[in-house]
Amino acid sequence: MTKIFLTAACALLIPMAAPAQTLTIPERIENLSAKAKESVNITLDGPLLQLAGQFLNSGNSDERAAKEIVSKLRGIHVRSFEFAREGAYTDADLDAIRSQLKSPAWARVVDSREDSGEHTQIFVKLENNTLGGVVILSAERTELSIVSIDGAIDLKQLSTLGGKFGIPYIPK
Amino acid sequence: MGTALAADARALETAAVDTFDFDVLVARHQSMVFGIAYHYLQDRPAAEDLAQEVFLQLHHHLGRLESADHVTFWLRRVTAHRCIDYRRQHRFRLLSLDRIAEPAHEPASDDPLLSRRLHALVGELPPHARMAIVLRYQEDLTPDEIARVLGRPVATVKSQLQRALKTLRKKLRI
Amino acid sequence: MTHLDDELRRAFARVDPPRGFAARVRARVAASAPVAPNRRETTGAWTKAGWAMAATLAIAVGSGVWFRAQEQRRAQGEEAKRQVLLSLNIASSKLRAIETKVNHQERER
Repeated sequence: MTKIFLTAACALLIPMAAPAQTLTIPERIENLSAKAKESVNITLDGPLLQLAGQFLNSGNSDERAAKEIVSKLRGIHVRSFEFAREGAYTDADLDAIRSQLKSPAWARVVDSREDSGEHTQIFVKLENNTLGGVVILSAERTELSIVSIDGAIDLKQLSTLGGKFGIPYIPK
Repeated sequence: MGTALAADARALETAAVDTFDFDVLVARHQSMVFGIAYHYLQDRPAAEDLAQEVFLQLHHHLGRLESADHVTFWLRRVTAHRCIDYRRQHRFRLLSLDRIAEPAHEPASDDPLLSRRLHALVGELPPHARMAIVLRYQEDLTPDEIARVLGRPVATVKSQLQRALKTLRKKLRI
Repeated sequence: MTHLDDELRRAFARVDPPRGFAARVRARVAASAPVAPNRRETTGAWTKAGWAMAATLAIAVGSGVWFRAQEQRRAQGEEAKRQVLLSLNIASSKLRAIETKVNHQERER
C-alpha cells in the first residue's frame, strides 16, 4: 500500500524576505559514488546553465520548453546512484540533507512510502510568492536519487517533460 | 598466397608508420577505435568525440611508435583507458539504448533484439569487465592480450570475463 | 564456441564511424598543430616578405587558437545541454511517478 501525504504547499510556506541558502550535498552522499555500480553526478550553476540554454534548440518545441525552464534557474544538482546490493546507504545519509530542509523556507509537500521500501519526498521553497526551488529525494532498495533545482520552477511544466528530446522515460 | 598478401598488408602498415602516413592509419583503424568507444560508451556522439581525441593523440605520438603492431596495441590501449576514464568522469547512467541513434553501418545481426539486450546487459557490468568483453568480442583478444591492453593481471581479466559471461547467461536464461 | 559467444561477436563487431570522421580528425589535427616559424637569414632588418610571413603565421596561429576555443565551447555547451536534459528527465520522471500514485490513491478512495 502506498501512503502519500500531500500538503497544500502555499498554505504552509512562510514567505521569506531573502532566499534560503541552496542545498549543499553532504560529503557522505558524495562518497556513495564509490560504492555505486552506476552513478550520475550533475552540478550546473549559473554560467553553465546559461551556456546549456544557448545550445537548446528554440526551433524544437520540446527543447524550447526546457530552455524556458532553465532560463529561470540558478542551479541544478543531481546525485543518482545505483547499487549492486541493498544496504549501501542508510537513512542517516539522507538525514544530512533533510536537516537542511527543516528551515521555515522549505516545506515537505510529498512524503510517499511504498511497501516495496521506496520512499519519495518532495520539498519546495517559496520565494516572492512563487516556488523558488524543489528538492526530490527518492530512496529505493538499490537506488538513491537526489535532485535539487534552485530557481523559479513550475512543477507542472517540469513533470510534462521527459520522454522527449530523444531521452526516454526512466523505466521502473 | 594468403601469407604473401598478409605480408604485403603488414608491409604497407609498416610503411604507413615509417612515413607517418597518418591518414592511412586513420582509415585503417577508425572502425576499431570508434567501435570500442561506441560499444563501451553506448553513446554515439561521445564515441565519435573520444575516437577523434584518440587519433589526435596518435598524431602527437607517432614518432614514438615503432611498428604496425605497436600502433594497433597503442590505439587499443589508449581508447580503452580513455573510455573508462570518460565514464568515470561523466558518470552518465545509461537510461536506455533507445537514446542511441543507430550507426550508419551497424553489423548485421540475426536477432537485433538479442543484440540490443546484450548491449544493455554488458552496459551494466563494472567498467573493466565491460571493456574486457568489448575487447574480447570486438577485437578477438585473448585474456593475456586484454590484460596487456588494460594493464591488469591476467588472472583478474580471466575472472572478470568468466563472471561477466556467467551473469549474461543467467540474465538471458541460457 | 558457444551460442552466446557467437551472439556477442555479432553484437560487438567493429562499427564504422559516421561519414566524414576522417576529415574531422584531419581538421582537429590541423587546428592543434603548432606552426613552426620559418627562419631566414636577413641583413638585420625584416624584409617585407618577412613581415608578411609573420602576419600570416600570426593569423594562422590565432585562427587555430580561435578554432580550438570555439570547438571547446561547442563541446562544453553540448555537454552542459546533455546534463541539463538528463537532470530534467530524472526530476520529471520522479514527479510523474508521484502524480500517478496520487491519482491512483484518489481513485481508490
